[in-house]
Formats: sequence, structure tokens, C-alpha cells
Amino acid sequence: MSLVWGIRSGDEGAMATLYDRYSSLVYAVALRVLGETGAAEDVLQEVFMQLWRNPAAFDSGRGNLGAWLGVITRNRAIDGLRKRRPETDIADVVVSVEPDMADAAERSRAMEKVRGALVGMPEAQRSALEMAYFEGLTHTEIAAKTGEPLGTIKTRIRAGLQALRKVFEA
Amino acid sequence: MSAHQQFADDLALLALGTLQGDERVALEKHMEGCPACRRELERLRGDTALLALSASGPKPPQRSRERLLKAIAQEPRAKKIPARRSSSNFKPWLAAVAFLLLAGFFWRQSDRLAQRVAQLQDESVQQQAQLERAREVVSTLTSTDAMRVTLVAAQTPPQPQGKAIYVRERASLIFLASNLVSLPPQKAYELWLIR
Ligand SMILES: [Zn+2]
Repeated sequence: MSLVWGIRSGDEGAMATLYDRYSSLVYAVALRVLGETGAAEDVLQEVFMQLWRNPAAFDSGRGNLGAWLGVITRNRAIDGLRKRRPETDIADVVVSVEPDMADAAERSRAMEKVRGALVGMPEAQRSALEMAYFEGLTHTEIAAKTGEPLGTIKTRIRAGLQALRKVFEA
Repeated sequence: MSAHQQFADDLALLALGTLQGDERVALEKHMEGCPACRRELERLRGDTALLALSASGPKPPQRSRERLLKAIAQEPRAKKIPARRSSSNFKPWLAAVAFLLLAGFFWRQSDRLAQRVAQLQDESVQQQAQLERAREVVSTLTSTDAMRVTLVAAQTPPQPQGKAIYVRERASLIFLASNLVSLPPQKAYELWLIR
């Protein structure tokens, strides 16, 4: 937990601090989804500009900023990938997550745990989860791609998400 | 099978933003009356944030940072300030010995506060006394007719100063400020708590 105030010249300084802390995470997510550096840089810019324009969208009482930015970034990038208009207003996104991602060391520990959990998953589960998350495919699209029943795909995705959660509950 | 179980898989898809059509409409309708599902949706969104963490790669290029800072410099914050952050316009107050004092409390949930007050009333005399003392401190801090004096070495010009005392567990924050420079109309001071 840290306390930062932007004083005197508005809060450009506070934004720079936030950028230095979270830009790697935001950029990595955008790049993973979009696969192209120029587009990822645009999403990075957009996400931080959103925060600048509407800091109240992030409800600090209900989640941590790193997690929230991760979710916002992925959603923005998917919207870009699928050429659709942004679906949710960022203010509607509430995220609650256990690990505190403000600290770089904490974040890299969490990262290791998540990667470990993904590696430990059955291949079909991991790939359903990643197709839904990083490609924004619907369960219908995933089912068509893999030739498996809709219900199976749905259940896999949920079980996959919960498996990630469990890693942090231990 | 309870309604939650029926919707469990769909909640995960909604968290991922990939639930469409009738299924989405049905789930959203159910959630209006179901706090448990709304909570679970938040948790699932948190789980998707964990997935975001599995992405790794090179750092963004330096030009991205410059681009952002340039953009925000060109787009000053609107003067409308969100209520949930502590913010105020400070004006220098009277002369050199006069100090502006601002105390604010964040109580995360007012019902929790009410409960807490009720609890305290039921508890021992000793706690009552402690509470009284706490109240005295607060009322001294917040009193409009309180005299505030900061002692500094002679010949020291008044320095802008801000002090924040924050207790995470209680979600309470006291901010004291003095001699802050008055801002142009479009600017406001903000205090950010970043987690
Ligand atoms: Zn429910």
C-alpha cells in the first residue's frame, strides 16, 4: 500500500508513477491478445488515458488497481481484435482478487503461481481457457473449433478459472 | 438444482465477456435479485485478472511513456472531482500564523460505522472512555474555531505542507494541510491511495 499525491500541477506525477508500476503488465496483456506491438502500444495509451480521464471508474475500496487494469486491458484489446465497439464502460468493471499486485516482487510471485497452475491443467482445459481469454472466442466458437459439446467447453472454462483461484487460496 | 448451480458456468463466461444472447439476458436478470451471483462474478473477474498475469513479454518502448505523459499534459483533468477521493481546493488562510487544517474521514461503509457505534455503546466503561477520547481528538481536529499553530524557526518563510495519516484496517484517513499554494480554477488537489 502506498500513498501518492499529485500536488501542484494536477497529478501528472501520480500518473507517471502508476505508469511505471503497471505499464509492463498492461503492455504484456495487450501484446498477447493483439500480437502486434503498434496495436498493443495504442491499447496501453488508451487504458491509461481512460484512467486519467475517469479515475473514479476504479473503485479502490473493492479491488486492486493492477488486477483492474489487467481486466480492462484485456477487454479493450479483445474489442480491438474482434473489431467491436467497447462493450462495457470501465466504471462497471469490479474486480476482486487476492494477490496484491502493486508490488513488483509480489506480482512476479503471483505470475509464477499462475503459470504453474496453467502448466498443471489438463491441456484441453488450458487451451479452452486461453482461447476464451486471449482470443475472446465464445464457447460456441470454441466448440466449433474443437468439435466438442458446448456444455463441456463451458464447464472447462469455469473449472479452469477456479483452478487459478485455488492456487491463491492455499 | 439451485439457480446458482444452473448459472455457474454462464457466470464464468460473463466474466470473460463472451456470454451472448438469451443466456446473457437470463443470467443478468437472475443476478439482479441474487447478490451471491454478483459476488461470484466479481471473484471470477478477479480470476481472469490472474490469467492476465500469465502474459509476459518485453517492456513497452520508452516512446509509449513519453506519448502518455504528453497526452495527459495536453488534457488537464476536468475540475469535476470524484467524491470518493479526498480532494479539496485549499486557499491560504489569514496570515502567516494561520493554518488551514483539513480533516477527513473515510468510512468505507456507513452501516458498519453505525454497527460499530452500537457495539461500542454496549461495551465496557473503559471502551466508552476511549471512545470519548477519540471523539475529543476528532472534534478538536475538525473544529472550525480551533486555533492551529505550527512552530518553525524564526525567519523561515511559510512552507506548503501536507500530512496524511491513514489506517488501512479502519479505512480511515486524516489529512492535514497548511500553506498550500492556491490553484488556478481548473486545478484541484487530489490525494490518491494506490493499492
Ligand atoms: Zn444466483
